[in-house]
Amino acid sequence: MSTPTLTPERTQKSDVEPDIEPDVPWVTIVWNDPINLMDYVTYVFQQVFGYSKQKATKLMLDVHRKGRAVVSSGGREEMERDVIRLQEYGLWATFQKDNQ
Amino acid sequence: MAQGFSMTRKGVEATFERGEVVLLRELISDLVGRLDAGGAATPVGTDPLEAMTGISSAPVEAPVDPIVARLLPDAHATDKEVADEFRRLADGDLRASRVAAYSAVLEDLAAAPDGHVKINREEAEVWLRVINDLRLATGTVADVTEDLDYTDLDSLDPDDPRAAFLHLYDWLTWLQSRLLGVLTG
Repeated sequence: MSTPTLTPERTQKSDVEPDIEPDVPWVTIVWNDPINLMDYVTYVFQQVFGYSKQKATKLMLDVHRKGRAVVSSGGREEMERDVIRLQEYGLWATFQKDNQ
Repeated sequence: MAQGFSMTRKGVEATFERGEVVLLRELISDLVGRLDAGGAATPVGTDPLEAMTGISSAPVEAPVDPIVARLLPDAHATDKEVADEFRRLADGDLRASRVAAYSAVLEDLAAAPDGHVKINREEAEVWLRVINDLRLATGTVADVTEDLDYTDLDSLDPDDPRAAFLHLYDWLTWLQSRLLGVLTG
């Protein structure tokens, strides 16, 4: 369950307006798995992202309870780097466009 | 029994029994072998750019070995093309950085007189990652699930091939918890 994104309602479409796809951010997702310890996952979030222990714990609990959680967002290359770092720690991490 | 990890004035310390040193060495060496076995389709050394960057010029297959597959999972949940492209770019580096970490721990073990390991904080963080990989490996073989009940360990049929790995997994979990406590304490 990813973070819900609000899309502005289009009430009027202009013929002159070119179809511009909004700049879609990418996200990194961590999936729950039965092996990684909760304390370890929290620790990894602090190490990789510099999150406070409080924020890291909240994200870890989201992963644990919801099955997955968005842990960072940004450009595609940035997310690929985050996935690499998280996978180096043995977390089950993937990346994708935010609107999927 | 191992003392587990503790923080002292000299740094992070642990004392392992001879059998435990052998066990750690064998488990880690096994992982080195698994990670070295697969990897980029193009043999290292034939493409100088690839050797330099770790990026494969050819497609890289998703690992067949379930342990390696868990260590290096698909990076996109649904889009195979994106996952394959990520693997082509990152697989070499991901394997290399793991093998480097394993080698560092093997060296620390080799340098430990009578199983007494003394490492600094930075080295301890490498141990943390490596022990986690060992838990991922043994847990994958033992088919560990979310509702693993440790009280069941003793009631396991000793002929159950998973039994040995579950005991290993249990010990590694304890070891990792101790190390985590030391690093975050």
